[in-house]
Amino acid sequence: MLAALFEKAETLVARPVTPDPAFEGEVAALRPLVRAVVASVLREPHDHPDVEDVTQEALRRAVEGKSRPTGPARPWLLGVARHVALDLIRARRRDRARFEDGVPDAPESASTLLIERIADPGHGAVESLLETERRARVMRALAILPEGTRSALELFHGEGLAYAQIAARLEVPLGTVATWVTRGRKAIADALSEEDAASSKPTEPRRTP
Amino acid sequence: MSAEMLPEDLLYAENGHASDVVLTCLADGEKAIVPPALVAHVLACPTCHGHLGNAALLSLRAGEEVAHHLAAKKAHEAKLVPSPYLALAAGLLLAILGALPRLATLPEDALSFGKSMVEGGPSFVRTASHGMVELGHASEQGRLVASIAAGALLLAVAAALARRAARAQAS
Repeated sequence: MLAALFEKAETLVARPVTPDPAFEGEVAALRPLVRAVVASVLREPHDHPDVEDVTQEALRRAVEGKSRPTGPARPWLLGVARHVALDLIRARRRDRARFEDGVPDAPESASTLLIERIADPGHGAVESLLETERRARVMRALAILPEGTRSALELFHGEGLAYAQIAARLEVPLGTVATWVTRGRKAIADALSEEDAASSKPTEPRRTP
Repeated sequence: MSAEMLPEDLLYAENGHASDVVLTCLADGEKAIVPPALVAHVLACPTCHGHLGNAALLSLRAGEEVAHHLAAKKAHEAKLVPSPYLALAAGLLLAILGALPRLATLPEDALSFGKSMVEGGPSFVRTASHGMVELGHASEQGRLVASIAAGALLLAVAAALARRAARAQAS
């Protein structure tokens, strides 16, 4: 029990950074994917200077940062990239708000930034509620997936198996695994976008008795 | 030896760009199963590159959702596993039956244990040991009554547990 607690604590506490060429190589190999994620979050073309800057910053944080992923590097690194890109979007939004008022504000202090971070609408009460609803929809979508599709997703994300390993485990061709994973993702994307579809539907005029 | 690759019919979409399956594979880091020429196209083509970013974000989000789904599933399965009340009750009953002869000599045992601790035990247990010695002295007179009462109490607990288990199983 105590050993398990220590093990958990180890994953939470930042580890000292030591040069790790293998990890750095893995990060470098993921650069195109990181750039694609950054471009997608920023909604900019892949050759936009901001995309390059944010990609560079994400990779720098990954390599020079104090923490290392305990599992596969890919989801962790993409998470870092998403975070850095979202930071840039928030900074852009702040700049726009300041200059739209006409008078630039004084430089932001650390406490102001902290308050902004706390007040980030991504973590507000309404957003939390929406997130809970969204999650419930995704859970329902996952529950009604065909067995093979759900198993493929669970083995890939839950156990971290590669497609070839999943194919061997489920005794199906590699192409089938790739198709199952793609379909499962589509179902999750549909569940996540249900809210947008519902909100874009025209509302019925209220009838008065 | 060449590694297994995606079949040809899954590689391209109708518009000539990379298919969703290919984009999902690349987003999942499965570059080795996609033909290199197609990987190069995805990285150079603005349309495919944009879709690759979306696929990678979806992969990230799906990973979080599936992890949540698996945790919820595990918690649900843990709830469904019935508690072994009957086995516990049977074990408790057996333990009581086995301990009955010993219950009669419990006061003497407590007394001798307490004495040994007072004589040789560390200081922090001495206070408790004195209490046990007192208990032993006090109950020497009515040890039979105490033993029977303790046995009856344990049996009552076991019977209550067994009844509850039977009721739960019936419902």
